[in-house]
Amino acid sequence: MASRKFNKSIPYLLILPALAIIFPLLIYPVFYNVYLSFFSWKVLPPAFNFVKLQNYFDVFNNPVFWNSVKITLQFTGIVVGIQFVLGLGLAYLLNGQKFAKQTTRSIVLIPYISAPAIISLIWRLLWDPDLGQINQILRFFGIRGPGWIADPATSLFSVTVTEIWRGIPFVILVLLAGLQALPDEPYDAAKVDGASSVQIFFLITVPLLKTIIWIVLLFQTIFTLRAFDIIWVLTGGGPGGSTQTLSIMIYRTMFRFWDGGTSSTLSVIILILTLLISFVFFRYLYKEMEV
Amino acid sequence: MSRKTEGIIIILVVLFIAPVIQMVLMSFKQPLDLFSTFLFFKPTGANYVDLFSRLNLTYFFKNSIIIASGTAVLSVILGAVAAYSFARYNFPMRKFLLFMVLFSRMLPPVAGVVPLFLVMRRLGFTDTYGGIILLYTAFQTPFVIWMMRGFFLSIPRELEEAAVIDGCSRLTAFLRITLPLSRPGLAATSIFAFTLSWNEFLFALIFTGTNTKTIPVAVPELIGEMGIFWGQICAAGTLAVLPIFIFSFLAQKQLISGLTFGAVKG
Amino acid sequence: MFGFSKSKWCTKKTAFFLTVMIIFLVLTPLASATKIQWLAHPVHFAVTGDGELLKQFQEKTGIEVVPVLYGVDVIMEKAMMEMLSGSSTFDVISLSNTTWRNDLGSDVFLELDSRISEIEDYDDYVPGLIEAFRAADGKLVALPIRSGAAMLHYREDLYNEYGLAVPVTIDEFVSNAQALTKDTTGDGVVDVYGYAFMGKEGSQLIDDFESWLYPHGGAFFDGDKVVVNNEAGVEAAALLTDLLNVYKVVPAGTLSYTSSEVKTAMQEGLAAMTTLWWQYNIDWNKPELSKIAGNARMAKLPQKPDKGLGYGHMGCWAVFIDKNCKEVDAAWEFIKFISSAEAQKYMVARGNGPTRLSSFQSEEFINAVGPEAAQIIADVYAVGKMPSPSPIFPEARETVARELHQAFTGAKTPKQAMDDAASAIQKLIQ
Repeated sequence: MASRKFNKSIPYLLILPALAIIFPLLIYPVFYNVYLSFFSWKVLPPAFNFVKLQNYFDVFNNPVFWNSVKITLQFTGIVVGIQFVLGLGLAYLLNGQKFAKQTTRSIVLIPYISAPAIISLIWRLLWDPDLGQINQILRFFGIRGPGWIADPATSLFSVTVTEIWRGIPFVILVLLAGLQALPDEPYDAAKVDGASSVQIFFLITVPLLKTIIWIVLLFQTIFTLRAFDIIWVLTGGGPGGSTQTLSIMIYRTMFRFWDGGTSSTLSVIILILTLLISFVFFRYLYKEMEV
Repeated sequence: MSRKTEGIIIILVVLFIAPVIQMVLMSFKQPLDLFSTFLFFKPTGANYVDLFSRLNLTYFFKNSIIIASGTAVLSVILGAVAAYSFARYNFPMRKFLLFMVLFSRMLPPVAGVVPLFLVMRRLGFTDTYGGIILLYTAFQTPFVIWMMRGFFLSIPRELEEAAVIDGCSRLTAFLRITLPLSRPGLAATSIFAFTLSWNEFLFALIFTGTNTKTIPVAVPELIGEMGIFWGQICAAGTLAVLPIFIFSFLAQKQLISGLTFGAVKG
Repeated sequence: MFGFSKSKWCTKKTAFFLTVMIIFLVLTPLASATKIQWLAHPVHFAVTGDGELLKQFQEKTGIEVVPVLYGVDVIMEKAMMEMLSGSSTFDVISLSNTTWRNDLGSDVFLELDSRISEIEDYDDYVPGLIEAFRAADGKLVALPIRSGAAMLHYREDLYNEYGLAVPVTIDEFVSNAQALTKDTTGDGVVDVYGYAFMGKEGSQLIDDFESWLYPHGGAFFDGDKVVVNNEAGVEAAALLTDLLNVYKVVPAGTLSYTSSEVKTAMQEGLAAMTTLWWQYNIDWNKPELSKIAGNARMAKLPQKPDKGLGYGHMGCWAVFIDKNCKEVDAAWEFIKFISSAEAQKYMVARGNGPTRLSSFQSEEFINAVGPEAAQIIADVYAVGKMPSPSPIFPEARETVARELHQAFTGAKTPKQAMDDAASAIQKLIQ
C-alpha cells in the first residue's frame, strides 16, 4: 500500500536533507584527494602527470614525514590525555560548586570561544623569552626561563600547553554534564558502606562515566590530530621543524611549495591514520551503546 | 563545599583565563605601554575607535552573525531530524551511514579547500551567504547528529507511544513531546555550532569575498606589513568574544543539563 | 491606414528615439563609473591616504577603484585560488617579488611592453625594481608601487655611550654587536642584545639572510645554476648561525621572530641593531610609539671588503593586471597612475617606499628620514637589485629557510645545510 511504502521510506526521508548536504560537501574532497595522490600536480605552474604510487614512495622515504608523524602522535596523545585528566578534575571541582555556577561555567568556556588567531598571538607574546610574561614571572622567582617557542627543545612543550588550554573547556563541560546526571543511589550506598572519597571516585564515578569519557576522547582526538591554527602562529612548524605536525606539513606543501600531489598524498595518509584510531574507539563505543 | 575550596576555584578560574585578560587589558593600552606594564597604565579608547574607522568592523560583525546564526539554525534542524531517524528507526545501512557521518569529519580541512572551491565557484556559490552557510552546515551537522541521537535515545520511547495511542501523529508527538524534552540538547549543539562557525578561518578566507567577509578573515589585516597593530587586534579579539560569551552565559542552564541527557546514556 | 502621415510621424518618433539613444550611449561611459577591483594589502590602501589618492584618480578619469584587502600571508592564497578557477574577480592584483613567480607571465597577466610607450618618464623607475617584474617569457607584466630596502639600523645613543663607530665591514659589525650585548641591570641576565633578526622558519628569515648574502658577494642563482651554497652563501649562513649560537648577540626568542617581533625588540630597547627596511626608522623615532624615539639611525649595511655588492635585501610590491579581466584599459590607467612619479611622491609622505628615483629627491622623503639618511638610501637604490626572478623562487626561499633552521639548531653545519638546500632547489627546477 502507498502508506506502508511511505512509512518504510520515512527514516530515509528524515536523514536525507542532512546527508544530502554532508556527503557531497565532505566526502567528495576525500575522493578528490585520493585521486590526486596518484598524480604529480604542481599547482603553479600547472603540471599534471599520472605517477601511480610515486607520491607515496616519496613521502614514505622522506624522513621529515616520519618526524611529522611522530610529532603528531606525541602531540595528540599528550594533549588529549592531559585535557582528559585535568578536565575531569576541574569538572569534578566545578560540580561541587554552590554559588556563581552560571558565571564560572561561562568563564571557563572563554578559551574555547576566543578567536584562535588572536589568542594565539597573545600566547606567542606570553611565550616570548625576553618580553613575555611567563619568563618575567619566572625571573621574579630568580629562575632563568628557557627559549620556549624559540628553542627546539621546549617548542613542542609550549604548543602543547597552549593547545591544551584552548581545547579543555569542551572536555570540562561535557564531563561536567556527565557528572551532574549521575544517579544518587550508588553514592548513598557507598557512604553507608563507609567508602573513602578516593574509592568512590575511582570505583563509582569513573565507571558510570565510561561512555561519556569515550565520546569526549574520540572527538578530541579527531580534532587534535588536525590542529593547525595555534601551532602555525606560535612556531610555524619550527624551530628546525620541531613542531611540524602533519597538518602543518600539508599546509606548507600546498600553500608554500604549491605541490598539490604531495599534499593530497599527505591528506590521505592523515585520513587513514584518523580512521584507524577512531575505528578502535568506534568499535568499543558501539558495544556500549544501546542499538 | 567549603569557602576555601570555593575561593580556590575562583583563583584557578581567573588564572585560567589570564591570557584573555591580557588581551582585554592590551586593548586599552597605549603603544608605549603594550609590552612594559601589565596592570598599571593609563587606559585609552583610541584602539577601539581606530578599529572601527580602519577596519569597518560593524560590517564584518554583521556578516559573521548572519553566517553563524544561519549555520546554527540549519545544522541543528537538519541534524536533529536526522538524529531522530537514527535513534528511533532501525533500517538497513543505519550503522554504516552513522559511521560515514563521523568519517566525513576526518579529512583535514585544508585538504578540502581546493576541490570545494573549484566546485562552488563554478556553481556561483562563493561569496554568497547561502553558499557559506551550506558549507558550514556540512561541517557542523555531523556533530549535531551524534549528540542529538544520544539525547533522543535517552528519552523513553513510551512517552511518544503513549501520545500516538492518544491520537497524535508521530510528527506531533515529536514536536510536542520529544523536542521540548531535548531543548537543552538543541541549545548545546547550537552553541557549539555557532562558535565554530564564528571562529572558522581557512574556509572563510577562501570562500568569502567582499560581500560576506567575516571577522576572522578581517583580523589578519591588522597584521600590517611592518608589524602587528597590537592595540587594535586585541580590541577586535575582545569584541569578537562578547557575543558568544553573552549567548552562552544565557544558555548556561540549558547547556549543562542539555549535555547531560545526550552524552551519558549514550 | 498606415498612410504617409503616420509613417512620417513614426519616422520622426524613431529618429528622436534613436538620437536620444545615441546621445545616451555616448555619454553614459563618461557619466557612469567604470569599476575595477584591486586586490591589495591594507598598507597599500593606507599609503594612498586611506583612499584619498584613489578618489583623486576617480575624479580625473571616472574610474572607481575598489580595494579588496587581505593580509600579507593570505593575499597570494586568495590570488592563487582566483587564478586556479580561471575567473577574474580582481582586475588588478598586488604581489610582492617574493611571492610572484616569473613563469606567471603573459599567459596569466597582461603584458605591458606594448603599452610602455605611454609612460614618458619610464627611466624614472628604479631599474633594479622594474626589471625584476619581467617574466620568463621576456615580457614585463607589472609596475612596481612599493619598495623596501634593508638598512643597518642602530641606536645612536648606545653607540655614543660605548664609543662605537658605524661599522663598515662585517667584522666591525660583529664586534659592535658584542660590545652592545650587556646585562644593564646587573641581575646576571643579559637584557640588551646587539642585534635582532627575523629567525622564524619562513620567508621573512630569507629577507634577513639576503641582507648578509649580498654583502658577502653571494646570490641564489647564477643564470640557471643554483649557487646559494657557494663560499659566500655558506659564509652568510655561518654568520647568522654564529651570531645566534657562538657570539650570542641576539635575543633568546630569535628563532620565533617575525618582522613584528624584531620591530618590537628594537623599539622596546631589547635589541640595539636590526637590518629591516628603512621605513621602520620613521616609526622608531616617533615618541608616542617608540621608547627609543630620537635615537634610531641608519647606515649602509656592512660589507665584506672587495666582495660585498653594496646592498642587502630589497623587496618590492607591484601591481599586475589579470589578462582576462573585464576592464583591461581601466586597469592599465590605474597602474600607470599609482606608479607615477606624482603618486609615488604622495605615498612616500605617508611612509611608502617609493619605486621612482625622483621620489628620493622629494621634500617629503627628505623630511621623513633626514637628509643624511635620505642620501644613503638613495645610494642603495641606485645599485640595489632584487634576486633574478625564477619560477621556483618562493619555494627556493622556503627551502633555504628550512635548511638554515637545521644549521641554527645544530642539526647540520652551515655548509651541509646550504649544500642540502642547493640540491633540493636543483630538484625543484627539474
